[in-house]
Amino acid sequence: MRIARLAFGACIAMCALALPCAAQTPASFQQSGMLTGGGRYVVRHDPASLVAAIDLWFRAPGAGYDLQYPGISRLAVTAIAASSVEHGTPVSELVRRYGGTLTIEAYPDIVMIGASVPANRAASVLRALTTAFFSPQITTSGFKAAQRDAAVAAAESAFEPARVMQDALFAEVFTAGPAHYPATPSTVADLTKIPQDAVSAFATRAFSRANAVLTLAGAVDASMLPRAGVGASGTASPPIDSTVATAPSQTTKNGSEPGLGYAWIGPPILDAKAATAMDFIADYLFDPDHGTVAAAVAHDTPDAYVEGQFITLHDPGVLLASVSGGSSQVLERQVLGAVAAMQQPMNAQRFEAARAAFEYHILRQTQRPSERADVFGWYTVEGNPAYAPGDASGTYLQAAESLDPQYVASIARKYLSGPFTVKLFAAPSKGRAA
Amino acid sequence: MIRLSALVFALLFGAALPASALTIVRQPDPAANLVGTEVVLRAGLDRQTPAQNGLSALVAQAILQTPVGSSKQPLESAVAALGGSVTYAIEPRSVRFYLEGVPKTFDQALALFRQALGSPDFSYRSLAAARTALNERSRQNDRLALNVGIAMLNRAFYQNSDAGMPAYGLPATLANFDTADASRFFADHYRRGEAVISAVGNLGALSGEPYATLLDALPQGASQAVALHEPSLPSTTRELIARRDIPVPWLVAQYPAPKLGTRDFAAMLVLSSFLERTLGDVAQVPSVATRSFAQRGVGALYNFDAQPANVIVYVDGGLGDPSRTFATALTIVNVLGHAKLGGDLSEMKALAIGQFVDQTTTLESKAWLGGVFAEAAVPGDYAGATLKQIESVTAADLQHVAAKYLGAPTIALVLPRAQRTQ
Repeated sequence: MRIARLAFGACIAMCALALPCAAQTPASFQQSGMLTGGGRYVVRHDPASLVAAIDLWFRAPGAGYDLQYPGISRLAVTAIAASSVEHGTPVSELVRRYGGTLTIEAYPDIVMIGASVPANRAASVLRALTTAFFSPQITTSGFKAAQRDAAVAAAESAFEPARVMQDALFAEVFTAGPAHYPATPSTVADLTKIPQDAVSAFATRAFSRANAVLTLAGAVDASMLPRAGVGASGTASPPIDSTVATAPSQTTKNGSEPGLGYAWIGPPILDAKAATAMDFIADYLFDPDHGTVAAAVAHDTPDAYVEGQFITLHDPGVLLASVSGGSSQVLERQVLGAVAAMQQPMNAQRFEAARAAFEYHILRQTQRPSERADVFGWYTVEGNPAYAPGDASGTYLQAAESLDPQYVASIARKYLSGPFTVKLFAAPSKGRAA
Repeated sequence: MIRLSALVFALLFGAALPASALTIVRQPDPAANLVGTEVVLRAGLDRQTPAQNGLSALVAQAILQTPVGSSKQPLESAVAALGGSVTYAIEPRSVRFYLEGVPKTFDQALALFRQALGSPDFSYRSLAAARTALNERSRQNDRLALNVGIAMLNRAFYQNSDAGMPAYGLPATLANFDTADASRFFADHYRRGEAVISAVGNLGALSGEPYATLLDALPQGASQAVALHEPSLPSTTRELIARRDIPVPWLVAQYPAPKLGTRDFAAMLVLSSFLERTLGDVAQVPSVATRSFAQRGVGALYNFDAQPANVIVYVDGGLGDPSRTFATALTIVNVLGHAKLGGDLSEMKALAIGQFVDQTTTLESKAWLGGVFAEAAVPGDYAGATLKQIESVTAADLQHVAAKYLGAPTIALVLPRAQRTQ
């Protein structure tokens, strides 16, 4: 899940830290600031890259400004990408012709579109994206294409255990606001009932220059940034938070397969050290390839799969852990027992090894231009751009380097007790609505 | 003496070298946060006899489990504790080790790898653990219909060697190998000759030149492939069938393909990417956002790193009747082979360029490409050269390549266990 990659984060410029590459990574590779006429930008130049990643991020509620239409932000961004602007070629078709990839992601409080294209196509695609999204227009054919795409996404999401679990947990953790609703509904009916005029109105409000965060990475440079005059400036939205439940809950639901889900409310993005400690805990316990809980479950219950992440949100962040393919008490004990054990300081040698591995995982997860553009976009719209892994300030890696066993244990004691719990039971197939 | 001069040559030009020499290629990237190094040794599947199937993987896996450093942790864990990783892949001719890590400790990671190569642990206990790991890896591979299909096709494709045998062996064959077998295979085939080291990332942040001596623990000279002379079985069909626990049937086809470094290489890049796009257009609902590899269900893979090279075309039956989609692909290939395309080829070339550069976005894939092009004796800026070659492909080139290579494929059908073929 894209959000998972973002939540772990990374650091690229480590100038203030002990890592030798810090001295080799000049801050001149990165530029950031305000776009002429409104909006923010971050440009990360990679001289060795043959690929340009171009992202546009917007703060916008996934269920709409009146929370009436879950899925409307996905529908809107997809419709614009598929609509011809002033008889031109739709963004989606342009990227396809250039041999690139187009990514669209909707989250409860954010929606983004990103293109990854060969270097010589970067300027053209950037122009097309900003033209389309700074003056949004939705054609009938674009809207239909978006409905078709969103319907496929909805059908697929119903069979992604981690997505289903996250939606179920968020519905419990957040009692009101956009995070209470799934960013992509799991039924086609929920999407097709959204009228085109509602989508157009949403797009006009959400997609403006002032509300945009433009992130470029790879074979790009600041000279490519759009000049003034393209699109209306609009209004920048503040970070969009949702209402947190007053006490943890335990819920059971039907799913496509049995599963367990846990959520703990964590620190806000501005508490960088605490948020990084939560990232560390998630990596140490739940990384699907290396996490201690993931490994133990793989050994004891080969058909079960564990993953977890700290989702770095404006306020508050949320640590999620999910088990798919099983919901036994043994699995329950493995997850909760490991989380409880984090409340005691780790052995110093083991901690050093785990932190080194954590920093490496973060760097590895954010090496592609598209991944770099993603982290800049995510952390900027959530409200702490300097904390973006890879930001020239090196804030993220400084926070990681400052962790010690006692501090991590104190964060576990502060945040990791009494989780929200969702238990999924496999539903009979004929009962599914999708 | 030869090694040193070859090394200097490689450092200066990133070039491929005489067959007996160690080759070092470097792709420095000062903006990268990590360093990656691929070590390619001629100790792959074609070094095995039929009775040794799985031995190449067993040796490589045991190396990852070799105790190293003062803590005597397994190499894999010791590198992870430094902030890095070490993995391997078994290929028809070679074993590829890939190390990656943060620059501040990467020298140490390389030293641990060198130590493991110097005294690999092939004890009974180590081999038992390696067998367990390989059996799990095979089990995971067997769950993916595309992997099963490709494995079947490779068995038929490589006729004069063991290169088409299962990369990670079979439980029954792995159970037979002991310390002496692993030690002998290691001694015979882990050689410096023809080895390739492909280094990528923030190389300037390393404290010294770690590569010149990285393989010093291995003996000089080259390993020899095992030549098999098995008579071909008479057959009137080019179809292979397997059954697995999968929900829908898959069709996987394999064609021979031009070798990397030949004139036809770029035309096949264009043709295979066009084939993938066309299959997607025929088989799938059009999409606005790009489908990921896992979401696609149809595709074409040009394995230009393999020797001989080949193209794989696959269709997931979950999208409908796979034979109908594949028939469309065959028709397209036939048309391309018998008539020169008119009009502008720029969109076809753009597709190929997009797919090629997309393979250069991680250090691991860059290291792999650097190694593959070095093995094929393609010197210098391989990426720039490839993009130029793609740009110069003509309609006549496409017709020639389609007619020459994309004639009669061998087809593998991977069916759900309960389904009948007729």
